[in-house]
Amino acid sequence: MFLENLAATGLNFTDLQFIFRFLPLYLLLYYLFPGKIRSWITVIFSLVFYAVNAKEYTAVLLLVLILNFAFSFGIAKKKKGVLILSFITDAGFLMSFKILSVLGLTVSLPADYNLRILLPLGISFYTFKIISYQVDLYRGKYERASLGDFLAYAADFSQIISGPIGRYDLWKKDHDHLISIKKFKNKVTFAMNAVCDGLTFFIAGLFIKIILANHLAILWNSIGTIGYDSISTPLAWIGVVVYSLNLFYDFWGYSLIAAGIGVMTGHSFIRNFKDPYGALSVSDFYRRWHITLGNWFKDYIYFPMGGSRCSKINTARNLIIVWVLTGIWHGITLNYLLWAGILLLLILSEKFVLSHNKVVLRIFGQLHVLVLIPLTWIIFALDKPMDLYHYFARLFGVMLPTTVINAKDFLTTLQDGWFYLLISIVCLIPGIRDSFYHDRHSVFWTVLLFILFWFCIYSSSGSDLNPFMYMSF
Amino acid sequence: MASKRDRIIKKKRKKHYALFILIGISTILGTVFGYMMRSSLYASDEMYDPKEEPGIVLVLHGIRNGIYPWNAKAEDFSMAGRTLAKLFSKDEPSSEIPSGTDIITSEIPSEPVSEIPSEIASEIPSEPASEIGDTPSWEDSVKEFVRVDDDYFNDALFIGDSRIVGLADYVEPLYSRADFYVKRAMTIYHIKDGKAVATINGEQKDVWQVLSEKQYGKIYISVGINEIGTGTPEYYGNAFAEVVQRIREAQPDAYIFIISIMHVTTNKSNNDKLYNNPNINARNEVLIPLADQIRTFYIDVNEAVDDEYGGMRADISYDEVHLLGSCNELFHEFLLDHGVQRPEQLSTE
Repeated sequence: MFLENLAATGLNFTDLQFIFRFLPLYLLLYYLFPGKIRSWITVIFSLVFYAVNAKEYTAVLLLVLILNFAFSFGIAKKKKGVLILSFITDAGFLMSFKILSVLGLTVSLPADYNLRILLPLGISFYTFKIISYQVDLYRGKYERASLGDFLAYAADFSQIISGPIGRYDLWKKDHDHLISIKKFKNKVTFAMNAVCDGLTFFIAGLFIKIILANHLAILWNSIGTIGYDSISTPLAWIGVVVYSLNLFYDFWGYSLIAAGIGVMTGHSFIRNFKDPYGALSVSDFYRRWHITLGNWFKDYIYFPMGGSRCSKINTARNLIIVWVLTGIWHGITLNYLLWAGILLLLILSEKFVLSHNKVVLRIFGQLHVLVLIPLTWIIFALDKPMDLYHYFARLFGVMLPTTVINAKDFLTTLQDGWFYLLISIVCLIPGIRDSFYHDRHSVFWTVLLFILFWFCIYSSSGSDLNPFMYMSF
Repeated sequence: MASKRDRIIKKKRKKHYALFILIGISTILGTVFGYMMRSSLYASDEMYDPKEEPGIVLVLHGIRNGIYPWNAKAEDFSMAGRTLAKLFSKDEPSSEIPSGTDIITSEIPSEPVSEIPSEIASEIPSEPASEIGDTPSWEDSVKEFVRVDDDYFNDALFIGDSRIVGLADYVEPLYSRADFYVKRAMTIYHIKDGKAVATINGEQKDVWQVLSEKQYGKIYISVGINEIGTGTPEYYGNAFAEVVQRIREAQPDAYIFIISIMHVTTNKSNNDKLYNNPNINARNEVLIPLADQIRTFYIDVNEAVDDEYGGMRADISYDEVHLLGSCNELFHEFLLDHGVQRPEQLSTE
């Protein structure tokens, strides 16, 4: 009955069902059971979590997991053919679903049940985790994982929907450390410290997602409600700022919650964002944004091809391959490919043209980060070419045949949301973030986090479901 | 004796655990209190489902609705005690908790709306006809809708939620002529309770102040989508009836136009448990009897915006609830097609 209800409503990190029921029960059982069984506790909860959110696609996840576990026997014995086979299988699944979901195909299943093929929840994330596991296993970084450990790593509910894309070596190190604690008193102390520390990240993530990102999403949606053809030029530019911050806080909030859950279970904190808007260039921005995805491409695509330690032509080729794949990873619709293409051009210009003069690079780099990257997010956001055309036309004041302008629309739109926009801009100040990371157990942060926790819960209790934006990849 | 280092570690750990302890205690207290008061203090929370939400939600919903934990009275605690006692007895524990319908019918009438009986709907139309007799004058006869021009709205007031905000923002012929008392998320209950939720000519006022300061020829009222989650259609209809009656008292010469609740798109309707067209239609149904078509009119805007499936056309909305800015022209045209001539206008023809 409980699971049926969950399946009907879905379950995400900001749901009160998750915060007050699912997570406490998971943590309780996780620390109650002996070390080696913990992986299976994670597996069970992860499969339940996945099934209630994407029941039709649980079979796909299980198939990918089972196949890869079977492949891992051959890969552990350094059989290159098996590694290639596993890569083709994983990438094949990912690409097939990316293509089929865009085509909008429907398959007929027994009992007159028609299933429209969508992108299986989190497939981009769990596929990349599994590929990294297989490649590093082949490279001899670690021994083959047991079934429980492999499933717990690959299907971990805290990372399966939107990352971060964790690595098995780090996961295993933390997992073994937890198992190595023998004394009951030490176990309790470790569990309490882990849960309390993870809780701080979890609450910070909740605040960023529920209070900042969700309110920015309301602002962004209100722009869409007007219609992109009918927004005033000031509102179009405000929309650029709003969406850029919305995407950042939504994904950063999610990443902090996910990392917080990881810390609660005794794993290391995985940092997925590091002050991206403080970057000095586009290349620098993408070293600070979705760090685990960037590192994945670096470690498994860019460096193996030679990275930048080769001729300029080969470096450019490597960058082109990485950015085309980055675009495809996000989706095979035109807007993602255009988005990745523009970023590629900016990076190439910084690397081969602007880098000759440090001052020029600094000026243009800042311009790219603060103006052009926010504009690329609009391309990222709007998957209909007509919407994109309308938005950019209005950005530069072009009147369209359907345009009906209310010149004060930016004032009415900001009337309800200016406070959240202001707080979102203030929260970009690096000092606030640094203070949290360093002093999060101080009295000040304890009191603030306690207030923020209940503020988030209060907000969450009265709002509709607002899924994470990065769930669609 | 503990060393200085041990004391520092202990102190640090206390601080370290403080957040967890604070949240743990407050959650337990809130949850227990919520469950205890479920059939007393929070009995009116028909939205709460223990299978879908933890008990703490009752307290949070209560705060949102102005029911604070410290509002609990001795009888609430004694009822909670009886409920707990029943839980441990052989009786069915659910017998103490009223069903959703019970809650709505027993709780809601205790609000001010009880002053207006549900029969008000039939009383309002009968008023003018009974005074006049068998041969009603033009003013007291049933009117036909006619096409009008924009100057018709020179003496109009629009009262409404975000759907009317769209008219005010994107239909120049209307906002340059009519007055608008509009606000996103405005509800019939805000209007009824005299909450100063909107501004008119830059001043924050409640609707009754607005109506006492200027006499209008036409008053359009369009709310309802925000009230879907509150009470039953009948409860909504009663509140609406009270508002219509009070407007009639404040503006005896005005024609009152009740605009139906605009549908959501078929896609949203099929995927939303609350904001769907059957729920909207149920509430529109209770509005129809409020109109006599003599001086109070019901106009169904869905005629102008619906597709063949009875939902709002998908191409005229981004969020599947509101019209796109440029598509408010459909609404404008609909209003132009649903004018009612006044006697003074007739005599000039």
